[in-house]
Amino acid sequence: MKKITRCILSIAVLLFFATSCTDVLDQQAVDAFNQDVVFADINIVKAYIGKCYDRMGGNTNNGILGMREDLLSSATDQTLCIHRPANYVDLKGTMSPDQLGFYVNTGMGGYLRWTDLYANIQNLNTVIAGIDDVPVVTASEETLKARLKGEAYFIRAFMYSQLMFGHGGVVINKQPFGLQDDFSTLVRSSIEETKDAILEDIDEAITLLSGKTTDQGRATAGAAAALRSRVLLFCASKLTNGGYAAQATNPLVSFPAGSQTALLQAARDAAKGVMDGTYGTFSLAGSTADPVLPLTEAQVKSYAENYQKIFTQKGAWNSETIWGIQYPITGGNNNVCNRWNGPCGYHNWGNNNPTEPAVRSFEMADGTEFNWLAYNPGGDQFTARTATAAELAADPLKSPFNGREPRFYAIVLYHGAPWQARGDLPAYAETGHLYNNDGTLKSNGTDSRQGLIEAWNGTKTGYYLKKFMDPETAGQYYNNTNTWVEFRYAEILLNYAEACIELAVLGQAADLQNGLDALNLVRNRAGLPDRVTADPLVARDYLRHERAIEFFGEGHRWYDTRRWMIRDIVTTNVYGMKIKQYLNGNMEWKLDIEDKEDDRSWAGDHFYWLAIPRAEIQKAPQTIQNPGFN
Amino acid sequence: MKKTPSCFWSYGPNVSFRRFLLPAKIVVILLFCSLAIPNLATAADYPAVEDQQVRITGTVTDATTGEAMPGVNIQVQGTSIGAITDIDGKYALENVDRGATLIFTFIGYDSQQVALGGRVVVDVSLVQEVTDLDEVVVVGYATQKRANVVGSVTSISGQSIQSIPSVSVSTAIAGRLPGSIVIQETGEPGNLGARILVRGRSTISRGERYANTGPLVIIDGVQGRSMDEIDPMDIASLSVLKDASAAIYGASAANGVILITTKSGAEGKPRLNYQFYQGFMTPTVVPETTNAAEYATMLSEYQVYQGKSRTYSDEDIAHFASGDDPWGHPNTDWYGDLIKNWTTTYRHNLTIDGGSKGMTYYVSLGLKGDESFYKQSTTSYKQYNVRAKINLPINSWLNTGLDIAGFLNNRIYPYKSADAIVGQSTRLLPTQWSFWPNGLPGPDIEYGDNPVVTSTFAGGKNDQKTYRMQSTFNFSITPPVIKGLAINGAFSFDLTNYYNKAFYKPWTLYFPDKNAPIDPATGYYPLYPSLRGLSSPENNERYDRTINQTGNVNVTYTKKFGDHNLNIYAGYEQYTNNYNRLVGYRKYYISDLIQTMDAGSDAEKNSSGYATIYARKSWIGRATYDYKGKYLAEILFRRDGSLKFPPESRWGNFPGFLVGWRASEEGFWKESLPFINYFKLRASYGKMGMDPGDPFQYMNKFGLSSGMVFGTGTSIETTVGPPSIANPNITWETQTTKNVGFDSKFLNDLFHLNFEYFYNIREDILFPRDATVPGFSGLSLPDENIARVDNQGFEIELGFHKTLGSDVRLDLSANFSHSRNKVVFMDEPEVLMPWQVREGRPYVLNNDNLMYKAIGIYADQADLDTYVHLPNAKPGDVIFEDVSGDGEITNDDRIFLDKFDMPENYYGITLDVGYKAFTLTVLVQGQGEFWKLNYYDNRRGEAGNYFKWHYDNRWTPDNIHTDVARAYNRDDLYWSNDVRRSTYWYDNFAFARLKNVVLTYNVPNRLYRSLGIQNANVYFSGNNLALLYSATKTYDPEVNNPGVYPAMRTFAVGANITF
Repeated sequence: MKKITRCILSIAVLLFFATSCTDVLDQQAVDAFNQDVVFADINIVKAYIGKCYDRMGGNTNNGILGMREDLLSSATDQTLCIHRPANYVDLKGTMSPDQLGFYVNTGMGGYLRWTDLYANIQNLNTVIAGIDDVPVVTASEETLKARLKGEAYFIRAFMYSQLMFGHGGVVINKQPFGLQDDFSTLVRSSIEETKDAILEDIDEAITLLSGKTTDQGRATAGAAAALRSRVLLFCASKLTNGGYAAQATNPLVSFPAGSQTALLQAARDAAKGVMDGTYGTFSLAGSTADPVLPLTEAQVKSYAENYQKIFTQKGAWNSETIWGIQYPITGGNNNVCNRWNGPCGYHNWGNNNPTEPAVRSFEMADGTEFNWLAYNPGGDQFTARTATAAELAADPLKSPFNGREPRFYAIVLYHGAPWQARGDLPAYAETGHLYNNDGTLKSNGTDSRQGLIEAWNGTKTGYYLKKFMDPETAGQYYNNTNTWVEFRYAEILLNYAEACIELAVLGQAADLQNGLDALNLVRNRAGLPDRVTADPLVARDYLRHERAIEFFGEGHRWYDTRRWMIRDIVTTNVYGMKIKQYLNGNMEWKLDIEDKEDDRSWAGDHFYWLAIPRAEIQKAPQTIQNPGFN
Repeated sequence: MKKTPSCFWSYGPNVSFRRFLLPAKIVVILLFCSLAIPNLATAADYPAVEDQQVRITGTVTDATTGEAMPGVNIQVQGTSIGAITDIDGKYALENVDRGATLIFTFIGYDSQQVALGGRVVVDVSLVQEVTDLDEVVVVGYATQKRANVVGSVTSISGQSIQSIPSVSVSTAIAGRLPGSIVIQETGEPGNLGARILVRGRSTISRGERYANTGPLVIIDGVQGRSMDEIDPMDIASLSVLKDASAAIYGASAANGVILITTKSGAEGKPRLNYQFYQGFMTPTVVPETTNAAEYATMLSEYQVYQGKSRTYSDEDIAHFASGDDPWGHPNTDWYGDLIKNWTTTYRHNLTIDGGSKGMTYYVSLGLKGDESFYKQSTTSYKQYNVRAKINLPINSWLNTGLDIAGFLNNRIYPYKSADAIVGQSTRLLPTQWSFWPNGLPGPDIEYGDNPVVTSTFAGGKNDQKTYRMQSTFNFSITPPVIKGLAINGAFSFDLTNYYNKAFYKPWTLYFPDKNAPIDPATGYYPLYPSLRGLSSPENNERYDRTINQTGNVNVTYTKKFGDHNLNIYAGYEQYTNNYNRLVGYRKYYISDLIQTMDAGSDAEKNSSGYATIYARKSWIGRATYDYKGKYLAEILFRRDGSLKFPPESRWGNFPGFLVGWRASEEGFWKESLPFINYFKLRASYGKMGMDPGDPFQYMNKFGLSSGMVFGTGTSIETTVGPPSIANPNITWETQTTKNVGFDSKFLNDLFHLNFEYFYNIREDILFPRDATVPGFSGLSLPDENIARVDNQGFEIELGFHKTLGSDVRLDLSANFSHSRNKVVFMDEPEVLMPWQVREGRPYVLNNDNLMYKAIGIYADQADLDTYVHLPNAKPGDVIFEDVSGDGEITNDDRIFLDKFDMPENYYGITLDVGYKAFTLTVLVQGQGEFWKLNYYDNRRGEAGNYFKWHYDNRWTPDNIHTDVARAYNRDDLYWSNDVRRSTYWYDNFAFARLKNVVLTYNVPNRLYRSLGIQNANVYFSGNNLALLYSATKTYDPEVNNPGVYPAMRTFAVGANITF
């Protein structure tokens, strides 16, 4: 009997053990918040919007916005991406809805990625829909809430603008989607509706952000106004206003006939609003006084450094910076731009090499055009330039790299351009080769593709892109912490100048000088003399040249060459510059026709717009493809 | 420095020194035992033996029943003296040497050898021979005699894999278990767990070929224990449940279940067993790359063909070929400079067991390890393990038990991963210097990657230690009032602490200073040192803690009504898993002598952490019934609830039904088919589940992620999101499994033939709808229960067993498994091209699913004109087929790889021969068609060396009819794997290999009995010994790609001694 009692007791204990535990299946996630929690605390919403910033530009893995391993600039005539050249499908003539390369690539540096941009739009829709109900107590929390909402509007406008710049009119949706929603009825809006949707968000952002102070790096009214200027200028351009003749009436990519003047005026006024200080006080960094020519060597250096510092700033931003993205030294998204672009002889990866035509397009210091054939009239671009040591001493301008405008020295690392110290090796980019006086090779350049250090990362064009590299960062070891400046005052001035000049081209002559004045501010800051002309078409050339140089490498060139529809002209093969430096100081510079480093070809007008990815059309068959693609 | 404690599992330098000595010592002792001792012993014994012949008497009884056994044969070993027991089991032998050994034999019983050791009365109990039908097979939550098993269950004993020189159990079972595919994807020490697929792949997986395909592994009833850490010597048996018999594991069982049971002590005097082996390893296949002259030739070919300037002139190539300028024109064999020909592996194990009156104990100590084949054996794996298993009966109705196991693992790696060392060795240029002619290390290709240096500790080390404690307390109550009833319970607490210290520092490479004057001594530039890799020493420390808790209470009831046998099991189980991680990081260490976290600089310090949880509750039931062992039936049931799913869809029911008919027991069978002496027909049907994927997908989850810098400082603000969208209906995947099969034996067990056919339907497979939900929805898609895959196949096992006289035993068996899956439904867009529809095809994973069909190489311009081609194609490029026939090559021409990216056919052939004291076991194992990338990284050409297979047969203007394309550079050409994926890079990796050979010699016990040793054997064994056939020979067919650490061929010598 005793035994039985014990048994029963044991069973009771067991059952207690089995049932008394708290229910292990009813637990909260330990590594994530659920939606209710996020929208119950304004600080979590703030952190959530932090992530939305992170996703601007659509690739959190490899740099954000414009700073990535493969630059958008390499989709233009300015630079050559040596790591994945085939990815630039619009330059290669290989783009198709299936083959969007750089523009959908999930690997290195993909840009304008359709799904990622929309993913962030969904994030922003979620926060904009939910933020009003977030409980706040104090007045400062109330202010924070309004400000965060404004930031969300700004980022959403930015996302939609990227989609529009790439694809034209896109599917517009401003409510958060759920899994069970019906997507089959959603179609692309016209480019005009898309523009309006963007401007509406920008207006909201400006209203909510005006007069509010915020941490550097978060959106401001100025940033939203700058975006408005950029969006309107894009919409006012030839590409979207009948320039694309075959599709002039296609509302996905063209505005209604006759819209252009109004769009240009709106673009002009949007820029003017920023210039007038309505959204904060901005000014060009450095002096905008007329330079006294000729510049001394020290002055050239000073102008160059002033310009370069815009792109290497750390800590508090200068007056020119309207908005940008900052990068941490560890953790978070790593920007290693020195490593991406630096010379191979510094154990860097030598990507995004300036091309020879782009290098030649920099003016001389006195504002005259650089002429490769100045000493060899009658030749062509492949004609070698030579100079003996004595000739160079007598006329330094025989070297193509002497006497150029200051920005040249801030943007391009050419053979002989000073760069960081590296032990016994030359503290300059050595992209050329050393020859004995008898014409035999002595040694290959440390930073050339035949050098002794990681030569496979050597420049293919003979140049490296210096502009975004921080001279204080050893690229082989460290991340960059300099800011990527997305909006700067110089862009506002040149946007304004372009709108004015284009209005003058359309007959509003009164705007011409306003445009030239803004243009000349940018030139003067760079140490160059004023442009003077009464011919709007000449002014247009001046403006286009200035945008190319001022924004070199920043990516604007890709939009500009499309807006102006000049990609058929500027898309050319890329050749390598070969430099021989003899021991006795004699020099030879030669663009080598035997060394074709990149085949490029322009496939036709339909390439001015990116195709909608095939996968997207398969998922949403109601989506209309861009013209020219099947 | 702290004194290293001398305990068994310390990690001090003393131990690593001993590690080298210990195996060597043992080999010496062993040789001494087998050669020297016998000689000494016989020399000493002879005079005594002459004088001491005695009369021996005794009784022989049956060990189980205790009854006397008449007719038992007794032989004095090595003589003709013998006797037979009388009706009372008694015997007598005259004139026997005092030191002799008696051999007792009786049909149906295990024979026994007994050393007299001076005794004159020797009583012996014989144990009934266990035939394989009596073999106890572990099935889910129970054991069954093989004869009564109705499920599709294969099993092997621990003993059959103990001599295989492989540190992990998963690799040792390859080819031995029909229906289990074993693939060893790398040979890297510490990373040797093989991939196991039970009956192939019945699911579709995301991103990775084998995601969510592994079987559930249960060790001693507990989930979450590693079959690669368990000491093979501790394994009593290993079973694989392949059909509805796995249904008792419910929601985790759909990929099959592997059950491992560890040994327990047996009653008797303490018994000590020591086993060891010392192995020597060398790579099976080393992927070949081009030498300097070949590389320079091939690269020049490409450059000239593309109109680019050449990197190497003809003169350079001549220097590379002649080797006359080692400073300026080296010819480096990177792989050769990286590796040594032989490295080592070892295992030692000591067990003690015994017990009396129901109290038994089993204690085991183990040590095993592997060292890398780098010249400095930096990468190494070492494990110490201990296990104590005690059975403590309290009284007649209460029994308790305690099982505690501890594992200490140490994995050590240099700074660079195997990929960056071994893989980069195939990439580094042969025209670069591994070492300069003066012995200094040469430059890197990037990241400081000079493998001959990065394979050493020059860049610091990554020391990973896992401390694992597994404990189970169990009890069993058998209330005397109800016969056959037992109440059992077990609680397991498994704690794993993982500690990873990665202290890294810059290393020095030497570069030529081309601006300095030529060094007259070498005729080359002087060298200068440069620090590479890191700017300063840095330290990453990580602590992980995992706690697994399993509680199980159950009731079992056994009842026999006449010829009816009934067994019932009903239980409740709860499993929880909690994981936490803490990581700290600092850099700018002043010196690498003090490596604690606080010795680093405050600048750029960083920390992070992570946590996960999982829990499951289960109700488990089983009822088995048999009539005379002839008609067998089994019903299984499990109800599982998972933390991962919402309350409404959290619970799933998983039943299994199994029936068997032992037809050979029927009278008619015995009459008409007597040559089939055993035949059992089996059938089963069951439903099982799977709960893969992230938990809490039923909520909108906002995770934490990497931060952003705001403000003018450099501090990072943590960010939250982006959210994943909720799927409120998420629930289990379910698999319906049907199986029929038979087991048979012919001609009195001379042959056996087993056959199984199965059909699995996996439904509600969790997969995101990312092929049909438009990107503009912006949704981060959760898993949904949408896909369905059917998988069917068969297994055949055939064997031959013959004993010739008493000396020769022969066992030959072969198994063959086949499985083929078919996608019945998965999320895919509407496409017009039927060759791009996945439904109805075997599931094949590749990164973007579709690829061009490569059908050859354009031999010449005529070929280009014949075939549709891409605009930039030239002779020597890869021909893509215009599948759609529309006259251009577009993405519409892409097809699914119409090959199998998983072995569909898998086989093993085992030969087991015994001759007197020798046993030889040979296993040949192989797989059929298996397609995968014959490729490793795109940086070939200017940025990396070429593989020799490409060089040897490449297209050149002089070799136009070939199937290997022309020289290329990175992804510059349209047929590059990164630009347009095509079948060009895929090859068949079918193979057959001599997997294991074990030759064992039972050392006669007269040689060592005086030492108190009961039994001793020595063995020579080998693993991955030879590739008998390999469809593609560029790298080992089992490993992932030519850039991974190659598979190893192992030769070992070992011994097993029982005291």
